[in-house]
Amino acid sequence: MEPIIHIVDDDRSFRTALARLVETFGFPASCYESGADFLARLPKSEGGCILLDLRMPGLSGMELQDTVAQAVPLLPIVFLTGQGTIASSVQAIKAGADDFLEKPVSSKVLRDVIERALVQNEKRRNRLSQMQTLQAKVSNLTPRETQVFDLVVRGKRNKQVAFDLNTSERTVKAHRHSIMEKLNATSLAEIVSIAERLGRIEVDTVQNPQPDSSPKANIRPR
Amino acid sequence: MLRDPGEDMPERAGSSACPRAKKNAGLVFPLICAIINLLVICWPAEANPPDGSRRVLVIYQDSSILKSAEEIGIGISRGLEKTTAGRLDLYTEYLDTPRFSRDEDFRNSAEYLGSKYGKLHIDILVPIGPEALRFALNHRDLFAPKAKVVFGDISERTYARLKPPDDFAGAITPYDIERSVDLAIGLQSEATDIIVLSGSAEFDIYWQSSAREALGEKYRNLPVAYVSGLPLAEFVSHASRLNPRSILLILTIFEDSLGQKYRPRDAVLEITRASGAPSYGLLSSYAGAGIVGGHMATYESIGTDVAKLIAKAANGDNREVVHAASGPVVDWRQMQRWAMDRAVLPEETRLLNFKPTLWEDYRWQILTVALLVLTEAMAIIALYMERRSRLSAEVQARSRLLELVHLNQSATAGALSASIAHELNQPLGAIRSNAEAAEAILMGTAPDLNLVQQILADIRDDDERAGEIIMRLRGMLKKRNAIDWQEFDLNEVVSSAINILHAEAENKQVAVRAKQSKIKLPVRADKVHLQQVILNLATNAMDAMAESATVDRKLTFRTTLHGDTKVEMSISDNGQGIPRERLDRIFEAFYTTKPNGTGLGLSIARAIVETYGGKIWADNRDDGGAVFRFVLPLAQAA
Repeated sequence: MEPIIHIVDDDRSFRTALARLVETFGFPASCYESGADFLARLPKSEGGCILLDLRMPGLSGMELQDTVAQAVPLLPIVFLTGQGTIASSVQAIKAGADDFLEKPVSSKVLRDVIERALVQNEKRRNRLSQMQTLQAKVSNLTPRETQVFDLVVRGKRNKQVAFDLNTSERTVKAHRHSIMEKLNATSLAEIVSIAERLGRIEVDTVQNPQPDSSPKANIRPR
Repeated sequence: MLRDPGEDMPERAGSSACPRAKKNAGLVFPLICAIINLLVICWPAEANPPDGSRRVLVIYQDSSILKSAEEIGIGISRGLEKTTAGRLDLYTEYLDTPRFSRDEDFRNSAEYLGSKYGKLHIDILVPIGPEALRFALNHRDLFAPKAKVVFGDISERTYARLKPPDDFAGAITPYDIERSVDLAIGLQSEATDIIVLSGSAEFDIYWQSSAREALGEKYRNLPVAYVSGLPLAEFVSHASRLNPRSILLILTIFEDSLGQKYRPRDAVLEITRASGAPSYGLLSSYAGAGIVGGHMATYESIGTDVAKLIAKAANGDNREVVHAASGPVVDWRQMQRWAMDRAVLPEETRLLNFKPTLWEDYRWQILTVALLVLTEAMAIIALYMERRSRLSAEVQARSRLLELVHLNQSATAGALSASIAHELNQPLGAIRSNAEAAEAILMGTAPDLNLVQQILADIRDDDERAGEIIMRLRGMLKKRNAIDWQEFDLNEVVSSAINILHAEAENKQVAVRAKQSKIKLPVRADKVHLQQVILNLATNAMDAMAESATVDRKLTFRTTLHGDTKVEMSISDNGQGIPRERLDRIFEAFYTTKPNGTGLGLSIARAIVETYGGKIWADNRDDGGAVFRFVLPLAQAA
């Protein structure tokens, strides 16, 4: 899939020039005059990255960032800033930028940044596809198996699970076996990792331990 | 004709030659007539005079219009006014002897007077002039047989010739040749010689012999030359050849060697007019006829002397023969002609035609006026100095203001620099990207030259854009040493201010709107200054909106006509507004509510607007936020 470089800048001349430069790198470029314009014409392809002017009338780059991240989460956002101040860079990164570029942009830096962003994009896409694979596997579980899965990955023993689900320990064991097979896992650690990657558990959240919880119970249900 | 008839003869016609006589006649003669008429009316001739009053008959040798008669008349009436001789009843007759001098004429006159005055019993008869004295001597029996006689205007020589009886009283008029020459020598201290002119008539010759007796061949070491026996024209040419250091004494010229008769005064006039030397004379009728002067009795003083004698005669004493008072008489105009010094004149000198200088006449007035003028001038100078110092203070204040405005400009430029730099980065970034793209395209195997051309055109446009931004910044920082007065459309300045501000407004997420008047709003001011006012108000408004939600941040510029003679500009925001109690203070210097504010922006805005004859104020808007307005005079109305 060919990545497309999306350029969002209110300055026509600047975005045109940038697009020309980007095209000399061999990437197709697509220009938008504002954040609203970009949101109206969301790209179908998830390959590429966004070069977003930090300061624009209407929705500013910062405000746009959240919306864009939700709409096209795979596309890395590179902010274009006019002032190379530390404050604006920190602000940009905090706001979730993957990178930022200082105007005026040199060809080499632009290329590096774009390539980095595309690598990032690649990674995200890969991760997403992995996730999608895992998700598909998990969704193959029966509802009962899912329940068992959720409890097991939180470190519950078979006996506890059986008690929680009001069933026998033996049944739980059977479910666990079926789950291991369906998820193509060989160990408990593997299943926990899958659950974590799918966001079914949070790691390291500090909460008051429940009175009845075991000392190991720092993994909590969401 | 012993008494110098010539003395008065010229006067008869001379009245036309002598403007002064005419003038005096005009003024004084009617006065005399009035006095006489009054006397005549009060005591009609046929009526017996009241007890104690005396009848006085004055007989003039000349006609009533002659200067001599006129002045003597004045002297008599003035003299009589001063006496306490009881009531005097004054009658006057004129013999006009130059025209009626035959014995027959005299007899007729005497008979006439006899019939006129016979019944009146004239108490005192006053003949004036030698001919009148002769008439009185020979014919008084016919009209005033018992009258006492008081004569006047008789020379020493005439008196000796006519030998009036001892009971005649009278005033003898002295003709003093020596003292006249002495006066001349006094006036001409560097005189070299004396020339004495006289005519060919018997009387003239008689005068010359008198002069020879008095002066001799050498008088006070000055040679004396006697010139006579010439025609008048020769006298004139002789006189004209004289140099100013000579003394020319003119006796009388009744007749010249050709037998031509003259009125002495006329002859004297012709000679003095041409004379190269100052002329002098003995007869007071010459006065004003071009002579410098002489030692002589004036007719008026003769009259006064006669009046005294009349008063005495009225009181019974009747034998006195006195010499009429005489003294130096000098014509001021002639002194000026010969540049003579007034200081050498004897104190008792009678100065004729003296025209005092303005200074002498109006000394106090001149001093007062001069003082007033001086005071006024000093006041004017003081006011002028004050005005100058005020002007220079104004100039100084203005140059301070200009400096302050420039500081303000720099501060604004500093505050906007980040936005301006960002703005500048757009074209610079575009240029760079375009250039690098072009480079890459040209390095490719089949470069798209059309695209490269398009790129180059874009580069040029962006370069222009960058140039404009820099120009704007320079315009904003432009320093003024003096106000650069221009007439321009207020809308232009608003647009240029918005150009400068828009980057900053973007940065602060303020939406800028402008509602400008469609018609031109010409004002006269310095563009840079008005732009600064707008920048100050706008940055102020943007700061006021920092706390507002971004969607509410609206900055609105509005220009409009304000009445017929003013333009109005307003800048409104959606900020906090201004607390009511601060509305009046916000334009004060150093008044600020902002942590980083200097408190100068609004006060400078006010100073600028007031410099151009305008007014600035602030208000709160009904729907929140503040509005700042200023008005300026419309340039066409000014």
